[in-house]
Amino acid sequence: MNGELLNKLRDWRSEQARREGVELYRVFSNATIEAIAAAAPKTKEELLKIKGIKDRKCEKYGLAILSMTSGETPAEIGKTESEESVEKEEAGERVFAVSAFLGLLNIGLRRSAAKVRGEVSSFQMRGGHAYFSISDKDGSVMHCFMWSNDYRISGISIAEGLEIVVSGYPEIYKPSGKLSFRTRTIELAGEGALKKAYDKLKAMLEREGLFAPERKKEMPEFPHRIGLVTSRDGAVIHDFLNNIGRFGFKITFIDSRVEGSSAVRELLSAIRYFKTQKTIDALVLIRGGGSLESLQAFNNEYIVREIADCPFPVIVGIGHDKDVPLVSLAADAACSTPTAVAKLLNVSWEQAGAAVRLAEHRILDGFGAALQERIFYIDRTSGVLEDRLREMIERVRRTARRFSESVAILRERIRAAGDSIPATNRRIAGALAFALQAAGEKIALSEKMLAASDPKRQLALGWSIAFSGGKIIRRIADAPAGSLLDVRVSDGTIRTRVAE
Amino acid sequence: MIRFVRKTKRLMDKKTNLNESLKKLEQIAAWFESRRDIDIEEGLKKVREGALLAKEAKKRLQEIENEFEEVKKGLEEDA
Repeated sequence: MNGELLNKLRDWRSEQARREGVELYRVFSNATIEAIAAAAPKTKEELLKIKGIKDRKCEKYGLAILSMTSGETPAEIGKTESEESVEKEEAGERVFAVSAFLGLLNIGLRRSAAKVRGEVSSFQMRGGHAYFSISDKDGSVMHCFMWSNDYRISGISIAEGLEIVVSGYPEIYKPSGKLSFRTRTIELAGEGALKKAYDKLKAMLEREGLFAPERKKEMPEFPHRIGLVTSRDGAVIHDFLNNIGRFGFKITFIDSRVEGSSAVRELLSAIRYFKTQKTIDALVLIRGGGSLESLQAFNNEYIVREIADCPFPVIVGIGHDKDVPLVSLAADAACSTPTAVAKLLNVSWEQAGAAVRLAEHRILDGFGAALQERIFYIDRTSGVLEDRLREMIERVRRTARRFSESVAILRERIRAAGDSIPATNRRIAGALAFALQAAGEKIALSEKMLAASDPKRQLALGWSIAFSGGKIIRRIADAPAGSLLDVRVSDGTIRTRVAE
Repeated sequence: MIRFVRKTKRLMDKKTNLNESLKKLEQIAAWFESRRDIDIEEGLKKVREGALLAKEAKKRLQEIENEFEEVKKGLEEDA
């Protein structure tokens, strides 16, 4: 792959994205850029063969790309064949065209990227872009230019007399021939100016209601997919990861600078990534403690609004001194350490465990109480039954005892009576014996009478008894024609049918 | 890694269930506390249901390794 071309393409893409105010990947993805560098297309047709380049992009960027692959820089698009050949040769005896020479200088100047501090001495907005100059006390002046989008996200309102630090690189503006500082970011210089800007923005956003409690989204129950934005380096990310519980969190991390001139841009890009993906339950933004100056990115109006506008809850964990970062005020939840943020995410999971255990207890207690009640009832009722049974048994026993006592008494009396018979009442005994004898005779007589009237005796004498259906036949009507009769005689039964 | 992903996916499907399980458990607990005369048969049925829910919830709440993924997009600024 052509490394030089790749770098060129990347520079061009950054510039283009900035000009359009879009993310880098909206111009071309890394893969596409690399594919272009590898294929180095020379024609539109070749360019269109590369994956990720469709008609629309070819139309929009084709000329710029092709000018680079054929060895030109984007700033030099449109120059003539002869100019190009000039640039390709060693500088020295060559005579340059002005544009080509300035182009060459600009390539060199690009390497002089720097941060410069000064006081704003003039300021003008033209076509949305910022034109201003900064100067020192000794009168040195530097002209600066800033694309509208860069200026907007800087969150700073330039005004004459304001002390600022600009980051970027110098460039000669060909139409005027003047040196201009291509500014990418501006920061306020000095705590005093920062504090003033902070207070002003805070008051304004407060008036707008951006920090109002009713705006805050509720923390999700059982958050699972977490977006994490912080710096890869430093202790905060470790503190966070060490303290977040093992509940199967799915953490999507985007590394971002959290301090310095590129912090705002990177944070913005990361937040927007999650906003477009929309696959997280909560966004976590963490950073270690710092001064107002080092936390500038978190007091940037653009970032604050972006945070307030997130469709998912945002948890911010930023250490701070006196002034709470505006991002923390706009977030749905704010802590001052990454550990606290991690614990906040753990809460519902941990509580769920306790809730399950509590519910189990309550259910078992409830059921246990119901069972206990039932057992009591059974005990009580079975107790009553037992009592009754015992009572009945007792009554029977008592009766039996009384009976046997009576019998014993009677026996005793009879014995006592028996003892007294020979001594006192022989007469009565004699009478009793006579009476018994008479009774015996009476019984014998009765037996004889009974024997005389026994039907079997009659049968033996030649009588018979006819039955029909087990009933004795007394009348003709009892034995209709055809009915079966049992005729009992002295030695058995004759079965017969009535003929007539 | 793949194992984790699959595990997580399964858990995601069950995610709402954890919430549901907790709600149902709470309802059952409240049922026991809200009445004086509990039918033992019905109570037993509720206890069984509760035990099952609690078991499921506990399974989801046991220690599961987190998944960590870094997104690298065209962020490299030429600064």
